[in-house]
Amino acid sequence: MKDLEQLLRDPRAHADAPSEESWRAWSDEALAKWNAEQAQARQRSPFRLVSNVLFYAAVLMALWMLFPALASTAEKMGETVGSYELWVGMPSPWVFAGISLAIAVAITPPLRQRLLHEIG
Amino acid sequence: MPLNQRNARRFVDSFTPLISAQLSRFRLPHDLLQDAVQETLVRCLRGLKNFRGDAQLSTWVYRIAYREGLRAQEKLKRDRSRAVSLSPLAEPADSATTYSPSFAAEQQDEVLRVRTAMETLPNEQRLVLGYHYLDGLSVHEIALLMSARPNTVKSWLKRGRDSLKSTLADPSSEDSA
Repeated sequence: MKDLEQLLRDPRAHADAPSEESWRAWSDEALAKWNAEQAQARQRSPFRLVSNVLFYAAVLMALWMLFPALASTAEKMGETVGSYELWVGMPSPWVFAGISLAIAVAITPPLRQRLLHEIG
Repeated sequence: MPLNQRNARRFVDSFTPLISAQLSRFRLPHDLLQDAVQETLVRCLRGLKNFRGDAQLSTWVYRIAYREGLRAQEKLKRDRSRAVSLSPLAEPADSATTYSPSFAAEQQDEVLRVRTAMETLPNEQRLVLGYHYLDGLSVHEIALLMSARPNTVKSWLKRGRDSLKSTLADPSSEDSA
């Protein structure tokens, strides 16, 4: 009996690998499937353009609201620290900025995918 | 960087033998093996544009193929349990691609005896033996690939080897496998 480790290095000890004819046919099919996906994606590109435009518009809108919100919050904190007015006065611009960002994320698949990729 | 036709073809030609060989060790029937190989290739082609080179390309491909192999095994289990409930005489789907113990004994071939003994090993032990001895992956690479700790991989390797040694030392246990 040969050394077990030596025997384990023999591909026949594991499984029959598919023949070259088989794997070539499979790879051709996979390539054809991927090509079809690419063609479909190119057809969908106008929608992607619209979604990107909407996304950047929503991000700009969020930023446009975020800076006045930050400024007014800082101003209010300076004037009335811990007061009831601070809590009442704060939400609206923040909420709008948040909603804009939420819309941006929700309506744009590229950003959603990027975020999920980063989180995952 | 977008992947053009020529690079896609080059990728497929270089990696399909590796992917096919790896997935064939998952003991899948021919049709499921074909699906798993194709799905792995398509997933790789889709993901190549986002491949950042944190790992070696082959390690990345191995990982995708490993996940696809597990998915195919799950599907096989589901199909088998359904088939068994329909027909108690249903043949195991991979019977055509495996050697029976008596066949191996007749062949008196050490390699085939190892192969027959491999059939009795649990999935993880069989796979790590393949990754380590056949593909030459290190314990660390296998651990990364299988989302396991290196010590767990070492233990699978040791148990797999010990189990093979005892099966090969005792031919009667091979026949009853």
